[in-house]
Amino acid sequence: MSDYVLTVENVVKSFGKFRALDGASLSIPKGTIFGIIGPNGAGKSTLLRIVTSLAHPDSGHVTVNGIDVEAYPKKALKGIGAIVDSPAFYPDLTAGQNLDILSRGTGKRYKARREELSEYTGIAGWLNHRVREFSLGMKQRLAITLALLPDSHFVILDEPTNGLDPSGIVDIRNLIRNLGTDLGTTVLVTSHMLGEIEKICSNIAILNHGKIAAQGPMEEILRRSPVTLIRASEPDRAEALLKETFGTRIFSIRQMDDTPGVLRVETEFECAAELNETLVKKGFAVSMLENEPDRLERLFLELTGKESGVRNEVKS
Amino acid sequence: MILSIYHEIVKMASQKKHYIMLIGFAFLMVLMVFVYWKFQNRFSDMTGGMVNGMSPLMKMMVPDPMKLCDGLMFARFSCQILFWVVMPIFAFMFAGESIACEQQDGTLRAYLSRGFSRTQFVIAKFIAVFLVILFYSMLFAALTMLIGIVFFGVSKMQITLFMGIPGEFPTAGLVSAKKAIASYYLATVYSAFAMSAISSVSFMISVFVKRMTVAATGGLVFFFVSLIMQLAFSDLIEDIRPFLITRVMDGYSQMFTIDAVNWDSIIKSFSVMCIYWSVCVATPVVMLNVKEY
Repeated sequence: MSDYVLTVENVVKSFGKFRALDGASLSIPKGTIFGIIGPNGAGKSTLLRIVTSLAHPDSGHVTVNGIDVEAYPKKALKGIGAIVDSPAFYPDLTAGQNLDILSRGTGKRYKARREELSEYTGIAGWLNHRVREFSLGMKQRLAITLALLPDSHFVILDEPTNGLDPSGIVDIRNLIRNLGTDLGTTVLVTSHMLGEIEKICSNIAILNHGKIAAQGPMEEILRRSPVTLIRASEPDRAEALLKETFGTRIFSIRQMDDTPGVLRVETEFECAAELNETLVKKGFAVSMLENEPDRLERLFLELTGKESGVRNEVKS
Repeated sequence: MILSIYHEIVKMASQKKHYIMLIGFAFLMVLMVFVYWKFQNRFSDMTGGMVNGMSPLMKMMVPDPMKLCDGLMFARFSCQILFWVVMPIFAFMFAGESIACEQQDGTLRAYLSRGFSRTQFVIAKFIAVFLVILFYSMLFAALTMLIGIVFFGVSKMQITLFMGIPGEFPTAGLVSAKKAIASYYLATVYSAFAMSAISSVSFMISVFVKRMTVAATGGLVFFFVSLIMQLAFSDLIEDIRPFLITRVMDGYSQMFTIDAVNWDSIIKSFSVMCIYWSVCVATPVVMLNVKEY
């Protein structure tokens, strides 16, 4: 039995001359909350459509639990709950009817599971209400309930926090984060909200121009070329000392324009403690030492070739 | 399959267009009662004229031609308009939105992403559309008869006088009230099958478009163009007439002449229905299995 719920191998998909996926490959380990991020048009939705057999790849393979989705779609997709695009329901039917129809669930066991999951997602009291009356946040909860029914072990959620207000985002974020621990479900989430992905996911993949630019556990990905912000006395001398001491292990070092006196140090690996120790030993007063926030955003921008104010500053 | 059909019926039952159908039907009935009441004497003259040309035995059977213009005749008369004009519109509405509406709302994608059988999905939808058409045909037929009986009563002898196939002469005959009622419901069931074949055109279009109105309108245009061609150019289109969609309604009038049904014509009508059913269901099945969503 494979350790991966989903394996995508060299998938290519073109629409006319536009190549939406260009040899994308990724593997999703069981029990993880896996995030796929990428700019608009990177191929996120196309990838999800191929995984759920809504579209067919030009070449490459997609397997779910080792079963080829193209060859055996019915078998492969059994036990997968997917919400591709925004959640869609029959507005004039009740939430309960929508769940029954879209999951094709029947029987006492299914009903019990439906009750249990709707309790878990917080829509238990709304099962007899028409979906027309639901807010977007409620629809997202219903979509997650649907994705988990009847017995899904792998849930795919496309932009689940899209269009929600801040409290709704927090609710859905907590709900997704708990799916793995409470129910043992593997979750695949796509989003362009990097902060959300950083907070929710244990593993990520960055998709750009139809290719996977990076993938792996979140911490491992973020450890790549970490940036440390240091406020030290005599910043010019401190900069020279660090350059001399660390040599090629420092990718770049410079004083930040908008916060004078703060050094921005980009290193090969996480080494904030070493930086601090070196400076303190040489008699520098270090009043601030912290990892640069929005690490995922910086990495994302770097890998996708996008520019930002920070990057411009580093490059200059 | 039964579960799928049940789900499709649940979806269709939740739609608001049922109110439109009932309002449309009620409006038609109001108009028909008025028209029937207004022209009752003319019907009486017509039937009287026919009785004058009949044998003495027949004259004994129908002493008062006015009594022939009863509630059952009203029902038969009203259903000609109901099934030739009103029901096709309703059938196109239901069939047209079956797949197109799900594409438009995104529920089709939600359903298909679960890996359920797409062939079963299409067939279940088609059967559900037929069952809803059958239900409304029976309901409207029953209500029409009830309205007719309440307003115009029932006589023992019935004259089966109908417009018949468009472009052809009306047919007439005398039958008992029981036989008239039996033939009335037989024709209604036949009509439901015919409506299903007619609306299958919209059903097929609905897989290609994302707008329910486009699918319904497409079917309507196809039907009424065929009807106009049949009415206006019946001689000129003799070669293709057997394959026109309106051909399936030919058997409808036949069903009223319960003692002398032309079964050859009925079988031909069902053959044409089968052609439309096959093409219009097979195409969505293939499309849904091949098309990307």
